[in-house]
Amino acid sequence: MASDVNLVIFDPQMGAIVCDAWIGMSDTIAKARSVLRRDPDHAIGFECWARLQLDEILEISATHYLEGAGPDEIQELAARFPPDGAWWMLFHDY
Amino acid sequence: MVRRMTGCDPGQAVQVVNALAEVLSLTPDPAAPPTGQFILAVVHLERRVIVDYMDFFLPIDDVRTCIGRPPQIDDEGILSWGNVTPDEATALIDIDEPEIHDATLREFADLMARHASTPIALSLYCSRRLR
Repeated sequence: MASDVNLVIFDPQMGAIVCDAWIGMSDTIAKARSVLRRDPDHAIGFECWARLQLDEILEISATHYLEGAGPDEIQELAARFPPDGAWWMLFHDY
Repeated sequence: MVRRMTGCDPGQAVQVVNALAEVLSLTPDPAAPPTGQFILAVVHLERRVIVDYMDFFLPIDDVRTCIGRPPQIDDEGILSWGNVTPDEATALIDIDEPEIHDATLREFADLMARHASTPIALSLYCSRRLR
């Protein structure tokens, strides 16, 4: 079963999703559960964790798949869309 | 995997895989307009989380025309419109395949009904990243 894990960033000023970066699959979601240690903020049909912290996503992205966003790219996204202004979410579709 | 899923013998499994390979190797029509997977995301503005979404495979130029205003972001990573109105979403559905138009319209009406009493923003985007 497909199990995609994405970093999704929403800009509340624009009301727009400004980034949707695929990170990985089953290994990534396993890592995410061990890092986040909290229930997703939404869990009907898909899972979505809100208020993602930079250190959390950096740790999760260490398990990125080939072509998935890794820690270096996450740092670039943090410079472009600082998490204190934009809303960072982890999206898991399955 | 094919054997496990279908219970067929090895020879039949090879036939199935070959048939799949033939279908998957069909080359796209170079004259066809570029198409993208568009996601209409529902963001809960108090909980700061995506609570619903719909996705569409649509010609990119048709989407630009039907939304009728510049996207908030149009770069190598994403094409995105913010604060999409229900009328804009309906116009988007109107360019979807006629065979599924009515069902998609009902799906959108159900989505809006589910979130009628919550503060939401609709965001339409097409990710251009590999996955």
